[in-house]
Amino acid sequence: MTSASLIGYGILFGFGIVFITIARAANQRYSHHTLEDFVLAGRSLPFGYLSAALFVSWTWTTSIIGSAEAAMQYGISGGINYTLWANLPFLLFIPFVVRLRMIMPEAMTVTEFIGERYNPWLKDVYFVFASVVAMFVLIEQAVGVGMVFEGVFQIPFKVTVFIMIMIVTAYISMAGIRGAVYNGILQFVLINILFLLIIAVVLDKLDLNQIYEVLKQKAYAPDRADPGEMLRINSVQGFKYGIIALVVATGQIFLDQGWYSMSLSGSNTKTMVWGLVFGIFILWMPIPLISAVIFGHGSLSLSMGTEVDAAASDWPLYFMNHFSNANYEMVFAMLIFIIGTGASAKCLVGLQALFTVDYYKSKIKRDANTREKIRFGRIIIICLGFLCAAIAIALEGIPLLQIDTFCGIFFAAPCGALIGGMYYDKMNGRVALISIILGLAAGFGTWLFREDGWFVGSILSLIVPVIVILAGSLFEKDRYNFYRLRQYRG
Amino acid sequence: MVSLHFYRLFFYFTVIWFVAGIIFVCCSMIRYFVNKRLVEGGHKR
Repeated sequence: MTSASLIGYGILFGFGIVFITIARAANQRYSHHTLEDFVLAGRSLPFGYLSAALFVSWTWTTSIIGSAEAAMQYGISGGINYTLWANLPFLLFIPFVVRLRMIMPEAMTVTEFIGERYNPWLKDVYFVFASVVAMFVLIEQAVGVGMVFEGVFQIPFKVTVFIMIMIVTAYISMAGIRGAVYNGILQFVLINILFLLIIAVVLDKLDLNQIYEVLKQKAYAPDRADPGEMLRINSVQGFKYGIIALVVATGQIFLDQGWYSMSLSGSNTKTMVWGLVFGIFILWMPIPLISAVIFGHGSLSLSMGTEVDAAASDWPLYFMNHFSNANYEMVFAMLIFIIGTGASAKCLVGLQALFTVDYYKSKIKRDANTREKIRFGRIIIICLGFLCAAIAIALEGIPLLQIDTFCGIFFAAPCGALIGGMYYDKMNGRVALISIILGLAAGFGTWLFREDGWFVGSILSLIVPVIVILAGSLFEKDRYNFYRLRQYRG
Repeated sequence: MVSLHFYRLFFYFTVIWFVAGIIFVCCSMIRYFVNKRLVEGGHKR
């Protein structure tokens, strides 16, 4: 075993022990007498804790790597479009979750809302979507961390993926959402320190004037079909990339129960709104914007090429290595590990809420008490942890771009019926189901039968359900009474 | 087309925005923690 591998294992096990210890302490301090305590931290989180936890949940490995790659391909507009469009669904999500809290105060999961608003069958459909989206995001994080650790520390991909998922599984299974939030505070501090350290190192060696000059040279290179495009904020290519980011993010935000669990754990509606605004818009937005400049444009200035290979996502390591020595590479790997665990924790929190609140009571034991439900939630999360680890290991060497394409279309289709059902009273379960089916058919049909149909397919899977809902309402005579949701008692 | 001046300005603005956000949230967490300790201390007395 090399010394680099030893350091890598030290990071994995060192942080693993710290995270699990924090979760253990949280579990001992807060005994979970009610389901709300375990799943929503008793709806008692203050603004600071909530915004830090939401920031950690939304900072993914793609926030740094994806934004930098967009900046390498599309220039100045790449990072800006990625940041703005990926965040846009939160402008819809915040009023959505505020209204959910207002009209259905006892709801803990989004599937409870679907079950009451439409019917139990559709609730099961959304249960599947919500589970798959959470598992997909978790696997994506684990794959990112696995690739980086293999590159920096020569630790086998499979080993890193397995250890990382098991660490997160252990601390979420132990302390529920509090495990994610209290570890999130530590992760918040570490992410910011490491990120600021990396900015300082890069700016010490690489001048912004130099970066800009290289960007200008690339933008006006003789072989470019679109001279000057890379220096424009309103680049058409960058805008198209942003639309894709919007479609992908919409599904990943609205269908992931983790976002609802995190948001609803705020002590009141005002705390929840400010927590979301700060965690997502104030704290998160600078991360991809800065990454786009220092990693994306910085890489271009090191003449690493504008053609980004989907399989070569470990370019930031070469980038960091260029600056000084292997220590910065390790700092970067540590940053990616902490980011990966934080984002994965939010996914498992969502999965745990879905299975603890909904599944056990409705599918296995109708008269289950709180203790039984929490025990079931703990066991099922361990099983799902193993399942996700197995899938992530099986994905070794497979480019994630193909899976990303599939998931972008798959997760966008149910969003229309979900959002429509919250605001529009002339909607029923039948129209909702048809809208999802037609959205999926339009999206996948375009993707499969049209060359380069991903862009149009993604947009159609988001737009078609909205059109179906509006058309369906023309034939709907009954109006849904939202007051019925207020009577819901879990 | 974005000028060098704007490019630099925007980058440093983003860094200041980032640091200011972190400081604000950290202060909020510390304030909550201290208040909680004071309340718990008061109950003990």
